Amino acid sequence: MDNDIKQTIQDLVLAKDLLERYVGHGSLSFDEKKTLWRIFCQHSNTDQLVDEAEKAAHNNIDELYNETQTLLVKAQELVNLFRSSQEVLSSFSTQKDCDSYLKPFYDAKKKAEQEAQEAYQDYLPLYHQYDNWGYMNDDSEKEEYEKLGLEHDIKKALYDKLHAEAVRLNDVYMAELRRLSGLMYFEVSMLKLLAANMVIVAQGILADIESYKKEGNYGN
Amino acid sequence: MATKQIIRKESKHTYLHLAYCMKLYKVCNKVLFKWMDDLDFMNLMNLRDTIDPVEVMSGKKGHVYYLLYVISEKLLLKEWLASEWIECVLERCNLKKESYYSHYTDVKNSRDDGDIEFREAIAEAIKEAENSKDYYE
Repeated sequence: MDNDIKQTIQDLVLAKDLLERYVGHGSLSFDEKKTLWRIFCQHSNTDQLVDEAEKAAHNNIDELYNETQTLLVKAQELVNLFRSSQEVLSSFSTQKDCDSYLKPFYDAKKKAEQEAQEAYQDYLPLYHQYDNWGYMNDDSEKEEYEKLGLEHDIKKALYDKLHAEAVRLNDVYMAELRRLSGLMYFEVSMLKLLAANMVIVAQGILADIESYKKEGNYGN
Repeated sequence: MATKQIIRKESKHTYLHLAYCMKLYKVCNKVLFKWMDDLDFMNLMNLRDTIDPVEVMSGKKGHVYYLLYVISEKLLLKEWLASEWIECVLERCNLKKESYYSHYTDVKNSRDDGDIEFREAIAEAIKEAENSKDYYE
């Protein structure tokens, strides 16, 4: 990332735009909700931002001051949006979106499991018959034994194939579930904490710059 | 010559990730603490001044100790600050550190239903926060 502060400002503006749309329309798309989650995850640890500010302070302290002022304004605007629209924003949820997204993966896995189960039930009697052939019959029925063996192999191959597909689709479903579990637990009020934290950090950076300049350090 | 530090890091540290702050706030507000704003809970956990004074509910000191113990054991972003962090939070809650060090494992080892329920609620909140703090494409 070229500049953490610039990127943070852009994302705070984006978060505010999206939340204002939610307040106005009562809904956001799945991808827009994911964007809000991404913004929270990407910026929730401000230590990196502070490190970046320290570097920037030695390169161009005036530019850092201006950027930090913008950051403070944008973060404060987001906090204010939460204050003014707390009730509407409290209805924000990602659970239904995640359920809808996961449903096709879940349905595909269940269908494959059902098909594999049916193939297994179809194959099981033949397996027992084939396995017990030696005890139940004599060599004179060799031709019938071979025919049974062929039928057994075909049904086993079908079951193995369907079972492997069920396992594959279960893995796909579980991977999607894991990928989205964070979004399921994401709450929009986390962004309020993020913005409030940014306000504190930005105020601190501005105060540090002002104090540095008061000490007579104007150069870089 | 060493470069002079301009931006002081200490006052801007995030000690507890915001996802934990939010999830634990939901378990603790009006249960361990008299009503507090979620931003104040974040401030408390990150050793910043709170807007309103923090008030621990009557009979809940043990649960506060357990909360601080669990956070300091595995959730703090700077592990080496654990004891200092605990003592700063205790001070903000008007709780004595001597009492904390005598009782911080009481709830952990308790078989009381209320304590078990509280431990489970904290564990669930931590699990949810753990899940929600990392983004996957």
